[in-house]
Amino acid sequence: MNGETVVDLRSVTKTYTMGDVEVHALRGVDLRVDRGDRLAIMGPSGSGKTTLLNLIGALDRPTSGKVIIGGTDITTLDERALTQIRREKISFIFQFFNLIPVLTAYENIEVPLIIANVEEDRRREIVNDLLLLLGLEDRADHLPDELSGGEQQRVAIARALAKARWSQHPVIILADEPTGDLDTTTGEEVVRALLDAVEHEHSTLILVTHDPEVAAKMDHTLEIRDGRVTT
Amino acid sequence: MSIVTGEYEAFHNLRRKGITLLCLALAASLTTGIAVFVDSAGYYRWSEFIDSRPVAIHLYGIGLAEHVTDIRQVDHVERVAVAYYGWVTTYVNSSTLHPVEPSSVRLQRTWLARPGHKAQQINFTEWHGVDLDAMSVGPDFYQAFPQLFKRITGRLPANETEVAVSEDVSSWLNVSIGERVGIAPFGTAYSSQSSGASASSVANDSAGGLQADGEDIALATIVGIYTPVSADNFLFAPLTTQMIIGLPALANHGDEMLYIEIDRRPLTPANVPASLEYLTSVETDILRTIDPYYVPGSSYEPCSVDNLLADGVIEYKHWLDSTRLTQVFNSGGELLMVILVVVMAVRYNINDRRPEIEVLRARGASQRTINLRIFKEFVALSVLATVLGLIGGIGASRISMASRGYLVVDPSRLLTEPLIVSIDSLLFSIVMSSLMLFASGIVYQRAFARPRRQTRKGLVVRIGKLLTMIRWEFVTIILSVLLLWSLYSSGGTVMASSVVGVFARMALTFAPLAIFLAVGSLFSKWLRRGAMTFSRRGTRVFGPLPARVGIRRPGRRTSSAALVTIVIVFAIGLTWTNLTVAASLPATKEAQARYTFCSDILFHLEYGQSEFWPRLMENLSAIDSVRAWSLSSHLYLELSNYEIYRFVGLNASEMMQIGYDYLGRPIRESPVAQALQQLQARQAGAIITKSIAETYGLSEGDAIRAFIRRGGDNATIVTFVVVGIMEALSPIGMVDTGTTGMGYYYWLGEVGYDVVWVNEAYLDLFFAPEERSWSLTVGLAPRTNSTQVGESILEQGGGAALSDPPYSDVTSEVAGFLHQEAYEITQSVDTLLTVMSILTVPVVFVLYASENIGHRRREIALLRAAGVTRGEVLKIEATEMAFLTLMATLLLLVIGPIIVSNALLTVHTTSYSYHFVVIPVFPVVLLAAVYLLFLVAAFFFAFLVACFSTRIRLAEALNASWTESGPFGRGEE
Repeated sequence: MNGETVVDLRSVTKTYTMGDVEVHALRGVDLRVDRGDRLAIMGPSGSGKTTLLNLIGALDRPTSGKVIIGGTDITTLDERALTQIRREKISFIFQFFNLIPVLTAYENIEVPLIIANVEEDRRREIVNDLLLLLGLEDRADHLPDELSGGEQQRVAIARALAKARWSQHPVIILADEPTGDLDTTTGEEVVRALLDAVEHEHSTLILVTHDPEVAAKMDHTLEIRDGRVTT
Repeated sequence: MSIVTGEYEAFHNLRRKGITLLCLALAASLTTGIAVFVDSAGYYRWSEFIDSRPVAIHLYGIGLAEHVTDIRQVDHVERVAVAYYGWVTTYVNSSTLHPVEPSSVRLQRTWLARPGHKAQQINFTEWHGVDLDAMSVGPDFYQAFPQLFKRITGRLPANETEVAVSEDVSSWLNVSIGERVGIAPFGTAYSSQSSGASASSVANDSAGGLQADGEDIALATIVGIYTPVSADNFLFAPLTTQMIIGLPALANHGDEMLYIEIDRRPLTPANVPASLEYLTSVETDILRTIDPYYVPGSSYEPCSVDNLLADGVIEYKHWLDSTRLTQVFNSGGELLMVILVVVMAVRYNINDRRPEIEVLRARGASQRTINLRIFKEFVALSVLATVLGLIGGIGASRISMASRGYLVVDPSRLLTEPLIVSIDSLLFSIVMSSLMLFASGIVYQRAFARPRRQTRKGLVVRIGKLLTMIRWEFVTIILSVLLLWSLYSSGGTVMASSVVGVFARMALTFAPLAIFLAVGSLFSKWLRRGAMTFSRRGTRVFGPLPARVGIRRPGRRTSSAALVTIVIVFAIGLTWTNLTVAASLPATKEAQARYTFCSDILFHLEYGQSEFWPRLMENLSAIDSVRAWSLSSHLYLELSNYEIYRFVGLNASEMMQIGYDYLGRPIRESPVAQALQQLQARQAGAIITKSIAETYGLSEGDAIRAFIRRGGDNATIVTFVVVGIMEALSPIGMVDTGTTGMGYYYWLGEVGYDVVWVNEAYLDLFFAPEERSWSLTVGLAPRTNSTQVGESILEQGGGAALSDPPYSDVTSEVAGFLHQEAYEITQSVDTLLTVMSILTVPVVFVLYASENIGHRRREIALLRAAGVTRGEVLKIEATEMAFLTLMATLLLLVIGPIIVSNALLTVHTTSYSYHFVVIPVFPVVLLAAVYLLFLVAAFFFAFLVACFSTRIRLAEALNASWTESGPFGRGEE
């Protein structure tokens, strides 16, 4: 890995308590990701992939260790500061239930720009560009339940990239099995669109996948098993 | 093998089950609350129906006396006594009459006179026979039933030479203790039935005895005067007896009767059927003592039986059933509201269980298995909810029992007032709850369930499809409005009909509800389609995210927002209705009374006692609160052949200070004042009512000729000039306002529609004072208790100048109206309904929040993951609530006036016909408070959701979303 480090995990552990049982989701993970990297995280179910993604995305806090995002140790930050980190530096793409159901495709893409108080004209420009980039220009006014799975994921990618378009900071796109709910052809289209867009926007991509073909398209692949990074 | 484990079934999704339980329990609580309250309120009526009957069973027949000893041995029989009953011709001599004192004029009226009519005193000039119903009893009877004779002056007779007479007879015949009367029982010589004596042939003999045609008539001495118990209790007819004679006076000439008292402890209002069964079984045992072969229920009875207590229990049961049904019927709006809440619960359950159903289906469960599982759970919840509802309803009934008027709850009465929970009530509540659940199922099926795919073809199907193009909402609204319009414009004709009237009243109750449902349905469709437009327009006000997310949420197909809004609007509308009606009824009654009496208190003067009038006025002037008074009179004159109208003579200037117009307003503040000024200026002037003007085509300035026939071709003819035409004029002189159960007269006419006001001085020129009825209208200072003034005048001896009733006043009319039993019960039930309606608001908010909690939590998590702050989440939630509030307010503005005005137009305050149905009074502060309460609840809900949103664990919320069904928004109804 090279260049500016945008993600730095040091001896990170995460333990969940389920009743009387302690589940060790992560056991001392160290990880560095540089700006512009495209990293695939692979591993069997329950290995800790999603937990790792949640910690990087400031959605959760580690039990021990440090999570440093863009040079800021987020482990000790309060909720307000975490919100700020998510707002400026992180974008998510989930497997499904990715979009806000009452908003159209256009409006879903616009959300991060609204949160960032981007002016309306600029918002329109960015959103229209992204719709064009992802081939969604004729689906702009459709609600999520009027879109196919692939279209929904492309809208989610556009939304993730919208932040990258505007943000002064390097944006980390976290994608949790974005093709997991799609057929092979659509999945390939989505991954292609995602990679093209990430490259276009010079964003960092951390992608969780079970699919070796998807992983093969990334710069790096990280194997995780029983909460430990194996490769 | 079971698809899911029992443990899963019992404890899965406690939140959903808990909320469903709450909604179902609300339905059961409402009906139980009303039913148990009626039971508990019935405690006092039970006393009236049961305790006031001094004798349990009354037997009538031949040879009963010989069974007395045996009957005493029957289980539960406590006391038995024999009496002989019959008519007795009683001879009274005019020499025994007391001198008549003018001041005791009121006492000279006898019970024979119809109330409100002057009685004729009987003055005997010689021995005269009067038939009295009498009973002959001995000392054992007095000991067994001492409570049958009250207020005894002297004593009861000990033998056949002694009698006691009732107070009424004493007054009527002017006889008193120590005097002697002749006694001739029916069937003996010289009774009025026999041919022996006539009044003229009866005379004193030389020894002081009484003879007719030389034969002695038995003489008895009056030893006591009593009040028969039935004088206060018309239920117990045998004891209206007018005279008691000592035994054995009627033993051979009267009918035998047995009075039986039993152990009353098993009687309880909590179990009316068991009480009735007990009374019937005791009656059977008694009758079998007389005839061992007696078969209960057969047409044969060994003697005539009055099971007075059983009659009382049956009457009580009729009262209870009708009151219970009436109150439930009156609560139709609230019942519908609760049905809508249950519909929400059903919908919530079905949507919430959809993922689970899909899982079960995926594991191979058949539709029948799934349906059975859902049905079993719903039945289990319904049973549990019914039990909880019964407990809740019993608790809720305490609110009604503790209320002393609408929303006037005395906490000290919560535990002290009687609590009666009858089996009938419980069964009634269970049946009503089941019906409500059934109705909810139908409503859900009609409104939300997916239509089955139509596979059949044919004409009927095509017609069906055509009909679906007609919006049922518009049809319902049009038909309901037409129905209401026709009922309102029928002028009470339809309502007066005994058969059609029932349906008309039902229509008046349910037509507004139908309008409400139809408008609500249109509203929900409009809300769904309009949310997008509103969100665009609301961007500037609320900001882009709150406007888009907050406003569009309620418009989603899966959202219950429209239903929530409808229920809330209904709750507010019904509460507003109760508040407005509760405020308007006393005001209406007050206006009726002021208008009817044309004053605060109206004294009905007795012209025969006019010499006492100055004293009365003198006493009035000594009362500080008396502002002014005015003497008026009325008589009936014909305007055309046998078309009789009421002419009221008055002093115009005085009446301007005292009187009230046809809307209950002071005359000085109404258009009547101007007409009175005209009347004052013209001695022969007349103010007529609009109906007279229309009948005769009269207008101001026209002359009218009124006349009274004087026998033969003679008549007194008076000419008046019309100086004013009014909608209605007080008839001045009526004694009441026709409150149900209060009126002395069977007056069903229109009050003040055919009245002419003229100058009193002008009437004096043509008619003698004794030809007219006289009244004294009195104006009092504001907030004066007019009844106290009236009583004060009576205490000072004013009764001598007055007729019967001596006065009519506004305070007692209003108080009499407010203290009617039915009114008090309705007010108490309305208090309960208002509390329940207000409680419904948070319940539906909780349901709304719970129904969408998965979606809401996920949406918030998505927004928070994108960097939205807690404050912005709060703003989104607040916007949603603001939008709902706005929509509810709009709907309220449409529907509220319809519900409230319909309720006002259907109130019943009088059996008379007034120019107005109701004087609407809007308690603005309370109405605003109810609306404010709704606003507070809505924003508290938004705040609560926002607070919870900060506690959402984002990773958990986002990762748990796989458990939800299908892509968002799909697969739900």
